[in-house]
Amino acid sequence: MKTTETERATRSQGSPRGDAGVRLALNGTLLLWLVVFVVLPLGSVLANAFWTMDGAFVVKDLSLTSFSTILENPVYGKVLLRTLVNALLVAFVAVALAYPLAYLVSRESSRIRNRLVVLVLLPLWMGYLMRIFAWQILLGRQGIVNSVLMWLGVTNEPIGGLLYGPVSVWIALVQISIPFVFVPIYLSLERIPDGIIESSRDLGASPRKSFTRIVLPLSAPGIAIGFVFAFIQAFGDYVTPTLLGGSRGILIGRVIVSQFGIAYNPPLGAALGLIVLAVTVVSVVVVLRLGAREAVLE
Amino acid sequence: MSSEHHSGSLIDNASRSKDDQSGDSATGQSPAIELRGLSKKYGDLDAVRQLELSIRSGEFFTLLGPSGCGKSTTLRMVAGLEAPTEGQVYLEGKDVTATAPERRSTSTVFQDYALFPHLTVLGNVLFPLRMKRLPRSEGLDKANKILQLVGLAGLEDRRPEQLSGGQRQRVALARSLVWRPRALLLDEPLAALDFQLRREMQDMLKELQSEVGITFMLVTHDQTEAFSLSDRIGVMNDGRLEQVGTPHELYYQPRTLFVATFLGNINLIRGQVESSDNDRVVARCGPLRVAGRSVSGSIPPGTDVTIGIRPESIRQNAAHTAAINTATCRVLSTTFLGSQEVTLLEIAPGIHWRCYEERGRTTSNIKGGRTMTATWDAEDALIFTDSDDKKKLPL
Repeated sequence: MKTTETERATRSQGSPRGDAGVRLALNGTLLLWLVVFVVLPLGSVLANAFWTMDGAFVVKDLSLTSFSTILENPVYGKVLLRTLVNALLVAFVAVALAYPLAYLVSRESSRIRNRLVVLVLLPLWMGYLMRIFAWQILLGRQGIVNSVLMWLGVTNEPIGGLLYGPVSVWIALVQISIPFVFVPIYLSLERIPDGIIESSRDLGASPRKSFTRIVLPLSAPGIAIGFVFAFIQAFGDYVTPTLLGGSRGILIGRVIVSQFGIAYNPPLGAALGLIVLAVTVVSVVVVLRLGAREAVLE
Repeated sequence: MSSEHHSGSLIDNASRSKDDQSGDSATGQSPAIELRGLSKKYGDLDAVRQLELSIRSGEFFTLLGPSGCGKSTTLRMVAGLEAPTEGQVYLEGKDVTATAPERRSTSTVFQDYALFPHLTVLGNVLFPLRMKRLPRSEGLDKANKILQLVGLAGLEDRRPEQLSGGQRQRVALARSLVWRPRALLLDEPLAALDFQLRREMQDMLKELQSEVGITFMLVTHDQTEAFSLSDRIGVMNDGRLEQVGTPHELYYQPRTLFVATFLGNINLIRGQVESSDNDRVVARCGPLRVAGRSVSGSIPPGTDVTIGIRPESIRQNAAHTAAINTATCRVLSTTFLGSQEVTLLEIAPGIHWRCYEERGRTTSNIKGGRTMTATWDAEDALIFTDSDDKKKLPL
């Protein structure tokens, strides 16, 4: 805090008028950016959520109708809960898969390390939709997975449950979020000097203790951020469940979208969106707090 | 678990519980650290070659050498952080070559301290005690005592990033000493500190060592540090141990040209042996004749040798005109350094020697450009054959 104050003080000593102009331009840009990309969309959602419907028309009167609809109809709560559990599961699995990968990569020599990181991030160069379609090809009745299983003689008939169900949604969501989970975990692991791990061994820690007492707490912030990335992705995503989820196990994203389309009830969609936002914000704050505390706790 | 702890004083429990062996009589006699034929190869590179070394219990031993000579690798092999390619490491008579670092009775202080950034000062110091499953109250007691000893009382709750370099160094020392290892291994621990702080830490190291009475093994490239701290020093060069001895022995009786040139200043001149009577050798170096002491016994006449004379062994302007150990030379410059005066002499074309003289209040009467006579004693002229050194020095 002190340094920023002194910095500001020294900075403002220079030509005051020119400085003021620059500052106005910079702050103005920031303000404009915030208004266009944050305030307007959020404000629109917020406003919509407290409006109501009269037949096929949105009535712009303050009302809690949408929220009471959500509370009265248990379907919404069920879908929200299912989405939450789904997102938590995806985030856990993604972290569980990305962590060992990140750990192994981070202990390689720097040349190999950089190549491996590029390999892990390679899927990001491919479009999001492309990857989902790829999963359709892989998991479909005539897909590669079924063909291989049949060729190996594991089954005689193609397994139908792979595609258009929760499993394919989980697989795709995990695969999509792995690079995003990998990066923060990798960065936190790579920052741990070898000397610290050696020193823990030297002071009597077994390899296991050295991992649980030193490496894990030091990489906790990375785990938390990675978890949050995967969670947000899985909680809010609507494309993957739509294309891979079939009709079973509808998730909240699809419900919200339908409120702006077929079901046409924008206030209800906005209210649900607001709840999703609130759940996300709360989870992010909780997880990041946990991660930060773990890193600091002895 | 072999690390069960019996309650007791700070001194006695230590790491002995780590070793399942409880032969105390053997502990008393065996060297604290013994290296036998220890070698380390990295691919084609010989980092450490066939090291033979024995460090006595309670000794302050230093491995001294230029960077890249293999001294840190040697220390890491003692700690168990590096596996030797060949040879064995013995700690108190017990072969620990295959023992994991956490099961060795040594403790390392790393050059960059390697403190745990997520733990407080106290947390760092408690870490080894927790790993040894010491009850918390007992651990706290020991941690507080050691923090007091290194002068960190009151900073227990700080994090490493909130400490100065010297304070971090003290935490590293406290953390390594708190569990009473049998030997403390120090890997250039003072290199990152500024001059003043280094001095203070040197004093503290020396005090600590006499306080805790365990074996210290230090690795450094700083000759002054090695001399001021060590009981004995091993000089390393190119993966080999060139010579082991007290600072005094190494300085006055270097066995190789490398040791002679690495420790302090020495004036060199090339020559050919004229005659040799055991280690008494007379050599001709162009216009000069030098009588000196061979470091490796008798040398056959005609052998090429290098002669080294310490700057402080040269006397200027002496009323002495013998045909041997006397050089008529030109004074290039004199530099006044307080208690000492350094004179640069041209002993022969292109060969410059230094000469140190203690100066009282008398001002120098030797000016640059003058001619003078330099003399020295045969005892102070050291004669090295080329085979004494694996690596030839440019002359």
